[in-house]
Amino acid sequence: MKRTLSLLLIAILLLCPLFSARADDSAYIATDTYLFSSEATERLNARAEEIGQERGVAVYFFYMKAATDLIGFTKDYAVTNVAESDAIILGLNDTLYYFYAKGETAGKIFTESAKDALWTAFASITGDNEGKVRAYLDAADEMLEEYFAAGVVTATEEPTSEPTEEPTPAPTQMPPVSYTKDGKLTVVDSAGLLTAEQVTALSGRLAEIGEKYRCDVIVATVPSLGYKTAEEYADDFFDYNGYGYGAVPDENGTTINGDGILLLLSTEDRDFAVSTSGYGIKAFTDYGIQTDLEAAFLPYLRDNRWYEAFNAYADRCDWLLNTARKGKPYDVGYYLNGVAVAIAAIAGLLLAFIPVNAMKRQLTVVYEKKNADEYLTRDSFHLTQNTDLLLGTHTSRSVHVEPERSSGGGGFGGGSSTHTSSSGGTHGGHSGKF
Amino acid sequence: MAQLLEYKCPSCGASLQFDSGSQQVVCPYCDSSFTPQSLIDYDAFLKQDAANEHSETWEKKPEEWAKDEASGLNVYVCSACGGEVLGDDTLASARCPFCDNTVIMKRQFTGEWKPDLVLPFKLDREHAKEAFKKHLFGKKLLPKAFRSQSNIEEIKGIYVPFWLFSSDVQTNIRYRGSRSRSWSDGKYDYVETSNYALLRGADAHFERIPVDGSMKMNDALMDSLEPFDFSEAVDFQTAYLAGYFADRYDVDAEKSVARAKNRFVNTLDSVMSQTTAGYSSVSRETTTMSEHNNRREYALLPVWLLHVRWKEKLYTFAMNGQTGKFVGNLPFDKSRYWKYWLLYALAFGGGLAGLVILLHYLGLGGGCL
Repeated sequence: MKRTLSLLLIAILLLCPLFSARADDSAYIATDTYLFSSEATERLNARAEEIGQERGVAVYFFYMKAATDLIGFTKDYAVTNVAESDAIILGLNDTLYYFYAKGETAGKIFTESAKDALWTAFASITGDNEGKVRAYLDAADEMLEEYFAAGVVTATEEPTSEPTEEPTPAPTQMPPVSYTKDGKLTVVDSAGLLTAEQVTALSGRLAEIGEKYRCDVIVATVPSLGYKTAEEYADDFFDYNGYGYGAVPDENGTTINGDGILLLLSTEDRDFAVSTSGYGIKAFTDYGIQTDLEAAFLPYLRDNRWYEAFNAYADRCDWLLNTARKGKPYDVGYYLNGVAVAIAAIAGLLLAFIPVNAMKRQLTVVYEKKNADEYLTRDSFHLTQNTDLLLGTHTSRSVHVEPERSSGGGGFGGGSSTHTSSSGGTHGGHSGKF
Repeated sequence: MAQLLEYKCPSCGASLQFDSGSQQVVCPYCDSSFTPQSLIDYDAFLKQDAANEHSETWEKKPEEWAKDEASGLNVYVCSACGGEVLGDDTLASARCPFCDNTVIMKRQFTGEWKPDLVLPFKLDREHAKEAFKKHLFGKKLLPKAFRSQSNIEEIKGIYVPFWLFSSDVQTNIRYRGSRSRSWSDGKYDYVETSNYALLRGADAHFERIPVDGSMKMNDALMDSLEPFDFSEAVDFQTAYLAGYFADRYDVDAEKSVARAKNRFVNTLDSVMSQTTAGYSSVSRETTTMSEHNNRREYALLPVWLLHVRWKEKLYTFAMNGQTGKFVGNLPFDKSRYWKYWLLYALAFGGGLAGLVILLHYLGLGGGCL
């Protein structure tokens, strides 16, 4: 009995760390405001855990709007929520940030300049809250790796002054960004073209439009396309990231043929691509995309005015979706062709001359006779000679020229052209350079 | 040697007139009618009897002829009333403006000036007036005032001198034509052109092509009166002239031949070129023509001439005295023209534009409407 009990106790004690570890799992990243989806939180937590276990120094992050006394809150947090003895904590509320190094080792590694470097990494990502935290985690991981490998963190000086006790102002560092109905980001600014405020406003606008028309409207920017074409990249971005209103993702998170439209930019290649899927293919016709949508945002893109470009994109998507919802998607022949009416009217004016001139001809009946047809005695006409002689033949030769095939431009036939992407889904859209 | 002929009714002595309805010479006063032939016989008979009478008249005549050298006008004196009849060198018969007596200048019909045939008038003055009214009918662009304000200044029944040319024409024309075909083998486009000489020859007979022999008469106007039915032609007798004016020709036959030739050449050319169908870019290279059995006849053809004055302008109309064909150019009302045009323009323009708009809203017309 005693042996069983003690065995049980030992088992429980042994298992305790496991439990406690699991409890600690969800606590590396903590927010009191919805900043990223639960999948994102999971990913970040997994990363943070990875770092903690490998390096021995844990990395923590929290965003607590409610934490008005940020320093006090952080220090408490370090005691109550941080199980490890050494950890670096980045704490934010909606206006301030504060780094706190718990433990001696952490204190030695994360000097003031190290903290600055960590902040730089964090702040450099905009519009992608998950990305920001990830950047912070990666930067910290790097520093830890360097320290334990070389024994010293590069580009650091010995702490000469007291660690700052004042939190640093950082307003709207993590603005609430808006998401699609399925919890996807409407603005993914990997190329860092927009400020935080711009991202908030834009993502809110796009989420609103998406909700209104039940169609995801997305903007994504990347620095480079790598080996893919803009069209491929955009299609894949849409499908493999699980976009598409009402689309059910498979076990990999991929969706096919959900309703949506995506504008993708690559700043290095200066390529753009508009990719439509599901209902988006119907609502955004080739004509609509190329003459309306692109006409709205391309001029701004060429001038590198990103925010205005995306706003124009949002405006036109709103209008085009509205038009499509009303029954007839914007396409060639949507507007009455004034030129056709004018030509018809002018043709009518010219035709009017025909009857009037006939009336005029009635008045003039006197003409000199030029022939003597009536005086030719009918039966007297005999053809006496009817010979055709071949004088000569010559052949000329010229190089065959394929007739010009007009494409694009004025060659819209209406409707939307589609292609199949690597995911197997059908996409419409258009790509080009800016 | 009668210079002037006046046909007098054997019954009552009044001036005779040729009646187109009955094709006889009638007396408008005692209603007697005579065939032209019987009149000629009677006249010949009278001549024997009244030779002196006539010769007196004739002898008088030469004294009283005055030739106005400057204007080329001749003055004839009417033997019935003594009134003066003015006429140019070609005037062959006239009605005395004072007593309406027909005066025939026989000299104009002698020798080479003797007509070979004449087509008698079949339609009368009333007919001409009616035809004129009908001609105005239905002409929408005729100024309204023309119908009401125009007055027929003069209606003259006149025998117009014509040359009639008949000929067996033999012609040979050489045309040049080509045929081409084209094909492509993907690398090159080929065009093979074959040139041909197209030899055509034909015989044809042209019968009585009329050419206006009076310089006074507008050629186009006379052409427009064609055709005349020559099956009704008769040998010339002055009797037919009674009641009408007549002129002798003043355009030489040689000059007229050129016009006739031109006409039948054009006809032959158009008939022949029909035989070159199947060739493209056909052009006429050489033409040779020969005429045989040429016949030239001098004919007097009946024409009613109407002179109408309107707004200080003189309009000339003519009616074929045999067939009744009425021709003449009418004045043109510009404002009416544009008014009608506006009407049609609004109708057609509005209609077509409306059609385009309708098609657009019906969703037809594809991408261009």
